[in-house]
Amino acid sequence: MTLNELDESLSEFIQMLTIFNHQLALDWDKLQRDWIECDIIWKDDSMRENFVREWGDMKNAIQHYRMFESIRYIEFLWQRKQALDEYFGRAITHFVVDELVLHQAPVSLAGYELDNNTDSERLVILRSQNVFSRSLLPDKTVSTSDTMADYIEREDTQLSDISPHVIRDPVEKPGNGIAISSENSAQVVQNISHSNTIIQNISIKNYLFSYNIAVRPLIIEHSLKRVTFDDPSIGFKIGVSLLKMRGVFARWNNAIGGGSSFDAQLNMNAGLDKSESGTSFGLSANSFVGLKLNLSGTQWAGRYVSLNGLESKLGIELKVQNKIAIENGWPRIRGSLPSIGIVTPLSPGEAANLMIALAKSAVGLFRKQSTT
Amino acid sequence: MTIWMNFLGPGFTLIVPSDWLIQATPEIQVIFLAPETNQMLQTNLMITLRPVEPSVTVVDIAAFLKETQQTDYAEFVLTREQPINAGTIAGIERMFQWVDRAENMRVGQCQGIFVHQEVLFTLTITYALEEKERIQPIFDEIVDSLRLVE
Repeated sequence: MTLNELDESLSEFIQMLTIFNHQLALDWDKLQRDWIECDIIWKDDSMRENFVREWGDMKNAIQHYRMFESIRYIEFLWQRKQALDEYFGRAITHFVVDELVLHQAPVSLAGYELDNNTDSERLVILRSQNVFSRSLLPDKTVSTSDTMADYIEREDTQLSDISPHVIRDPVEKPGNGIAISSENSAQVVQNISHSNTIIQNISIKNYLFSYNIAVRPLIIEHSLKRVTFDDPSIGFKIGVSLLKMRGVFARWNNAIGGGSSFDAQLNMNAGLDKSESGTSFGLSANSFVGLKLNLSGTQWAGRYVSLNGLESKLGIELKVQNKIAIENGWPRIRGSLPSIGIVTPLSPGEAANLMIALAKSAVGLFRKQSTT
Repeated sequence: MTIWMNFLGPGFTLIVPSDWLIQATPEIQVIFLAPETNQMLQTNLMITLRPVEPSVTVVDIAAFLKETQQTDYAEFVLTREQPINAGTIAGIERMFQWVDRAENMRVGQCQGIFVHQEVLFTLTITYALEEKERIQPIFDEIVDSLRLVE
């Protein structure tokens, strides 16, 4: 077989396989519905048991193929096809697999924003049809003059040279927003999320000098440290991280981007926060010494990456926070006494309370406000 | 037609419709958000992982839930409680309804509870009750595809 024939047959095969996958998806939906109906109709029936026995393995096999193999197999074929294109000097078409199989899922990116005033973490959801999560790629330096469009355009041109496997350690967050982590190198990171939210950090080695300006319209932004949720607010915030030191004495990585580390951390922040509820200016400091467990993962779906992480701390955390808040025209001092916290695993009662809180959060976070 | 995509999370895998938004927070490992409809509540699915004490079992947690949910939710009705499996890991599924007083809206929820290797894995599905018929087959497929990494 010549390379031309190979190329042609490979193209045909990819097309057939793609159709097959789509067809399989359709059939699978129907099969799934039939399966559910069977489950309802055939209660305590030997015919049903036989059906499950005879077809259960097939169901599992199809499901396994759909979940784990179909995309990988087409990707594999496309890599071969691209190698041929390269050999023939033809323009290489990238990411067709995404379009066919993943159909350009509108993925949003959620990130962490470390609140300089309260030292609490906030949820920031970055929505974009063009997935901005590519900022997770390591060792990227982004000019602060970039617009989001510029950034995405450049990322698009660069992306083809970057293997997905270089994405690692995505949950390091030396400051606000989704950080591009490289602990030992200077970097300038700019995260632009919703068109009205801009967060900028400048990180130099392990020290972080940052300022952030966040103009927050009605985007989803809630403090998730508490069970109850703040309403989205309109306001702005300017924060200065006076000192941020972190020493990592030992670190153990796992295969999916997380790991454990023995950490010592000291943060001092000053900030001005103006929101609908008032204006506040405050200083805060916290320190932590102990073991951090970071269980995290990246979801790799074509070129799209979603970040999720679980971080548990076992150690001693000392927090001091004082703010002068101007609320309704009157200054008030709001502060907290130093507290030492040790994070421990949940008991059954705490786990149940967590589930109740989650169930309420699921409604509170995504309930639309009534207009009446 | 629902087009599905694989999702690989920390310690679990499942399939989700490819047009659902994927989000995460420090507290919630992943949130899948269905496309908006004219309902007052946007259908969503949340997954969390938390370390638990070594002796904690799903049965213990379910028992505590029974005690507290009745008083914590307005007009709470438990519609289903049954064992479920994520691969070889056994768990409990609890389906219930309640009224969100803020909008006087009937909410349907389904929570899956698994404990594996001292980690509590929860799956919370939330929808406006009017959406149940349309959403149920999708959720069933998601739950059916769920696998915990052993």
